[in-house]
Amino acid sequence: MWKNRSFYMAYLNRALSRVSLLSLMSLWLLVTAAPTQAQSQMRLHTLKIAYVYNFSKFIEWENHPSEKIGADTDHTFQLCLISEDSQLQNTFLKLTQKSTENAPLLASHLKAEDNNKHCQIIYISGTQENIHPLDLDTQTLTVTDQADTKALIHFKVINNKLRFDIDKTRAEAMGLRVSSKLLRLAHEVY
Amino acid sequence: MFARLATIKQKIIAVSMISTSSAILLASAAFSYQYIQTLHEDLEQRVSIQAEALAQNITASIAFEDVEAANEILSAFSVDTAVLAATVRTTDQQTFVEYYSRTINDETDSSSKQAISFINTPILLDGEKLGELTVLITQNQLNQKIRRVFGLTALIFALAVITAFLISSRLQSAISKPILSLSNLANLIAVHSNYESRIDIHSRDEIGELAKAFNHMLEQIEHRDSHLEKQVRQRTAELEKLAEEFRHRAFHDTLTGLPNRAQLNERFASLASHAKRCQNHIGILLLDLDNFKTINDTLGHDFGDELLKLIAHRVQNVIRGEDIICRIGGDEFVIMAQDIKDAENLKSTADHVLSALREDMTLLGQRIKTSVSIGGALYPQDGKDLLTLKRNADLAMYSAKESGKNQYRLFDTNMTDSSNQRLIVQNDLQSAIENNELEIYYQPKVTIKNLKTCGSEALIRWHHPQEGFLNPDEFIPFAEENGLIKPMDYFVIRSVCQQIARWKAQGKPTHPVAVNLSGLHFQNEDVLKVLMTTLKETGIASHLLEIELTEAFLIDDPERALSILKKIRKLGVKVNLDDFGTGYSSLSYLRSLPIDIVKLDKSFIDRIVNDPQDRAVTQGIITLAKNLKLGMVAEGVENQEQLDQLKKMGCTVAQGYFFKKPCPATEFERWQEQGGHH
Repeated sequence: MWKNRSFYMAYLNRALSRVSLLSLMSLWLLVTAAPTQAQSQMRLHTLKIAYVYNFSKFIEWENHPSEKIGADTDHTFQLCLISEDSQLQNTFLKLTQKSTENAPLLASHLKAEDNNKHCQIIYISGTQENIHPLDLDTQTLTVTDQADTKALIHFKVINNKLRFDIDKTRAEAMGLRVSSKLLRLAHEVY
Repeated sequence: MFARLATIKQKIIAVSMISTSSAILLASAAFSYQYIQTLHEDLEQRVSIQAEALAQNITASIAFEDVEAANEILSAFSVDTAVLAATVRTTDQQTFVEYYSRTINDETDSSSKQAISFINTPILLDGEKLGELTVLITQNQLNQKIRRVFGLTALIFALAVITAFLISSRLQSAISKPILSLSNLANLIAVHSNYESRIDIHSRDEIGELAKAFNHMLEQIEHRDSHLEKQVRQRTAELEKLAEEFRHRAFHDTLTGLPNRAQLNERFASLASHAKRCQNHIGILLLDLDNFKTINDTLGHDFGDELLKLIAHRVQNVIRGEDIICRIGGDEFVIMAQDIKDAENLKSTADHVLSALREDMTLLGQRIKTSVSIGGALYPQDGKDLLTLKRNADLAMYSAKESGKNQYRLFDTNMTDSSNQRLIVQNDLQSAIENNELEIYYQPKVTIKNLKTCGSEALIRWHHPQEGFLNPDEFIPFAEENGLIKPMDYFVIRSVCQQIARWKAQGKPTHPVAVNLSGLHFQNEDVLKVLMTTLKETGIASHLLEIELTEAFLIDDPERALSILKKIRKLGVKVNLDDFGTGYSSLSYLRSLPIDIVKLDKSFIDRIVNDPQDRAVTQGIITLAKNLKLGMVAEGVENQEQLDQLKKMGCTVAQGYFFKKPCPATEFERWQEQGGHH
């Protein structure tokens, strides 16, 4: 059984062109090293930021970002973060690097009280008390770490895995179309 | 290949089967190839589409690292049994999810590892590559399908071949049946030779043409057959006619139309039994024309033939109807008379025949006098069979000839002597030459004027160990009959030459010696060679040797005989014409023949004294010979009167008992030494 499986794995590996021994070893180190508390916290942050970015791929805004009121004249997609964790902030801001000529992207850090109308996605990390009132009409996708009726998506960790819930009803009411692929991955959909 | 097939039917079926199967095989192969190709393409396309769809669906799972969801999505491959396994790897080459079909182990157990292929599909999210989906597909099921397709194709092929066989077996008769009926008819005709049958023509193709040609051929054969039959009938009739003629010829003589020897033999048997029953006799008369040879030689063969016919006719007129006359060859006839009571009875028949032939005949404008010699024999006392009877009649006939011809003799037992003589010559002459039983006697020739010896004639004698001393006339005729005369004459030539040589050596007087040569020598040049070699060997002068011959040497081939005679004379050997005046000797011979000396026959000399007519003839011959400058020898001078007469008539040389009988060489020598007096 194992023999056969490894045999087929060899087949598969051969099919993949860019396999290198080095990457395999680093992969092995990554997997086998016992993660520390800080490391796992860091990993969670990184995941969350990646997820936020990925949400943009599975959600369609009825109005193009460029046509949004108060938006910049260019088509830059605005990703906003409200967090006091500087580590998180640093990681988040790196998302700007994913900007391309055809799909310009800007990740920015906001304070709770800042105007957030220009944001397509706003991730509110931790427990934020005095958030600038979210304008429901602005089609801003709000992502939070806690169950908040105002947010469309909120993260949760189940079985040591990062999951999320989606408020599909409100999202649709706001004019956001959530891809079924994303819905399928949601832990819960309201 | 088709040569092993015995019948056209099999060949047609084989041809159609081969062409049909080749076509079906080709079509099936093309179809199978196309189908398999399509199956392969379909499989890849199908799996590609599935992989594409899955790659789309799985993007979110990767983006949000939801392995469970990804597994769920990937497990959608379970509906496709062709997919053995699928793997999703992220861009950092980490395996994200894997899928293995339940049958993977079964599949890998099978030896068909080649039947495995990969389809790689990139997993893209907004143009960003998240990873890659690799699908491992097996073509085993495809192969199973292909096997099924092959199986089906084989089945269809088999069915098609069977169908083709059934159809061609049925349809081939359209081609083979006319051919078969043609061949059957041909066989039938070959067996029964019935050329009246015709074949029915059903088709207008080449076989129809063949059948038409076959019928035409049969018609021609039939036509030719009837023609041939007619011809055969005609030929048969001709042949029968010819056979009839041959039958007639077999039993009849062609010249005279009389029965021949064969019929004589046949008739004799029945007559003999009749004679036995009636206690009477059969008379056999053998007729031989006197001097027929001479008539033939002087008047020609055609004349001779006509004469034979006339004689046959005459004889037929005088004999009784129930008697049979046959020509048994040459100038010999046999009369077979039945119901003969005694010898007298037969004699009267012979008398009738003789008198009938004695009358003068006119033939081809020429009057001719003929005569026959008749020998008679009676069955059964003179012979129980025809051969004996004929032989005895022959003896009687010879006897009649010896008694002066133109008469008949009936056989009596004394006559068997001469036939014995013939046998003796036949059996003993050859050995007599070898055993020195022959002796040469010499008779002098004398010059009348001075009575001196001027030559001699060599004469042969035979000292037979049992029969005693034999004179030439007792064996020379028989030696001439069987050809033994030739070696005998050669013996004489040699003996004489040797004798002359001996006399010469002994210093005794030598005169020319004349040797008698039979006419038989003049058929070829053998005698010439013998003369030449003997003269050479003995070394004597050629004028000492002379030859004597009668006109008979001219009989067979006069031109040839004359040319040989001339050559002999050229040797210097003188030629004597013997027995001149007998038979049909003609005075013109003296003028025309290349001779040197004429020997006057004894019959003239016998009558020279008393018969003025013979004397006149003799005088004429002598005068003519003198004028022609020929030598002249009178033979058979027996007394002084004859000698005187000859002297008076101018004859120069004589020979005869009056001077000396023929005697052995020693006696001849003695006689000469005594002066040659009688």
